[in-house]
Amino acid sequence: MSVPSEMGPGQLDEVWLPREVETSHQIPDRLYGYVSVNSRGRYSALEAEDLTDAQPFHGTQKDRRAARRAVESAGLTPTADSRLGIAVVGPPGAYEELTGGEVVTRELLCYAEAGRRRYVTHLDIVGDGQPTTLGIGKVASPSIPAEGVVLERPRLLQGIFPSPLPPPVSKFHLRVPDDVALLLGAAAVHRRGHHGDGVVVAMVDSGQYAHPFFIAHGYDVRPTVTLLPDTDPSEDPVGHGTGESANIFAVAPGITLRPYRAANNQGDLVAAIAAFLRAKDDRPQVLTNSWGGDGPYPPPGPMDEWERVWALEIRDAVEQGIVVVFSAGNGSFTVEPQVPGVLAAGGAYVDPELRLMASNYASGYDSPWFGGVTVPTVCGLVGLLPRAQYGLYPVPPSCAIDQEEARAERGDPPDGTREDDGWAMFSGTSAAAPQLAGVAALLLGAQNALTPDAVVQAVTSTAVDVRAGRCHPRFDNLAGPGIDLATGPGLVNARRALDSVLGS
Amino acid sequence: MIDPSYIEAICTLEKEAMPQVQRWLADRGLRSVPMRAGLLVTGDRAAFETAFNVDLRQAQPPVRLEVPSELREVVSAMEIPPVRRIMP
Repeated sequence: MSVPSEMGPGQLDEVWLPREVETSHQIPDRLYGYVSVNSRGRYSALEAEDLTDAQPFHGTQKDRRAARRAVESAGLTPTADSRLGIAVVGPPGAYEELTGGEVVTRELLCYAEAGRRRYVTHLDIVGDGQPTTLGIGKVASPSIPAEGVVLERPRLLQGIFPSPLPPPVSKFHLRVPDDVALLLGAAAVHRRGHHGDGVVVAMVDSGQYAHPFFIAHGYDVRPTVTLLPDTDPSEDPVGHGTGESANIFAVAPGITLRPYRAANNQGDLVAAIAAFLRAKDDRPQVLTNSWGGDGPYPPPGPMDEWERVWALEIRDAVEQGIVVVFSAGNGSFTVEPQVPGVLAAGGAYVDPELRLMASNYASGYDSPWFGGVTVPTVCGLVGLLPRAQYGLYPVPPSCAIDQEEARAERGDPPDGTREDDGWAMFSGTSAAAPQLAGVAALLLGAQNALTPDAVVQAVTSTAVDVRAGRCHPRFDNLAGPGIDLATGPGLVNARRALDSVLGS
Repeated sequence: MIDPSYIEAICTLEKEAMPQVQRWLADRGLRSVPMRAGLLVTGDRAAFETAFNVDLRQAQPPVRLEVPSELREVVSAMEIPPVRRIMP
């Protein structure tokens, strides 16, 4: 085909693609519109050419009241009034009642996100006597003092924000999903067709923001359950839950994520125990928790009574067949990862030359409260002191983590992202826990009947041994050949764990 | 510092007394959820302060609340644990 040389790409669209196409797209249940009240002047506001003065288009008070009554009687709800008209919302049938026409969809070729052209669904009112102008309808009865009904047109963002792609930064870091999947042996598992499809993973954290990263990848994120009154399930004030959840999907992209928001509006995890109980009650296959407490180490005595009750509650989840994952801690000492049967997620660091060492950011110790338990059970990927900036994760723009990580702190330079771009570099054993949850989900996706103990056995017996480095200086345990207190048996490897489960 | 609008506490008690304790808590505007070996008690700070006759405005958890005399025989402890922290 010959193409006229003066045509740019936009014009080519118009040669090959019609400006408008018919479709049968479903009409939404609620439509937003505007009813223009009869103008005082000679011309209707809908036909006005001189727009230098709005006064001639004002409606009289009497007409405005009558128009409002007609609108309400048709089944529309006024949402705002002005001297010119009434903003309304309501079902398509109400617009049809008011106009006597029919609401239909039309697809128009438009400039949309990021300057790209695509067909965008518009709404129109059609029928005898209805104007041909898109989205405009006439009222059915001449007794209604309204010049017309205008259906809202789609308002398009001129770019996707925040971007589903991480910004370019010079500091060494891991990207989700690919780098995390590669280093944990999950990419090889994906190539064999295992993605953790349908495995339900619950995550108790600060919340889950609908970042375009998750949408663009097609990840299955269910609506957030929020435990606190007056907190919004669509918000994540800290960004922690949103960012860390990307680790689960990096390893097991086929899972269904059920987020539980335990944070108040200041981002404090005040409802963590209630959220854990609620998540447990919903019977997920995996329940991941990137949080905990801190106390003296070694502890001055046995657990407090509340810690015993809490530990039993966690143990009960394991006994119900739920794979429970807790962060080992970032230098902290806390009861949760010590509970027998819990997958306690520690930290291993892979440097740019793929050398493997213990993360000095992660806790590692012999449990003083539970005989035979060592923390961690196994490791995920965690950065190094001072603040473990390692993975570049999607977060709500301008959330606490987005801002903090973009600033220099504790002698650590900024992460290289902006404070408001919806991406931040961090990690900690908070990242390791959802990575282990993802590996558990891959195993359960392949062998649904695996018990939590079998999952623990599979991931610990196949981990990649970490033989260098030390864990957090508070515990100062050395990583060496074999199982050690710095990293347990080492870095989790999804491919080897799956092989052990499948017997291949 | 304690969140004025929401507090979690863990109650250690004799299992048979759970209905009695739950009633007592509900009468004072506190919610409770049975745990494997106790009760999770939640409510706002004012409800806790009234029920346990304590001022929690400056309290730093863990806080051990004094068990009222009418529950003392069946409740061995009522504690507000430290708020759990995220681990980035």
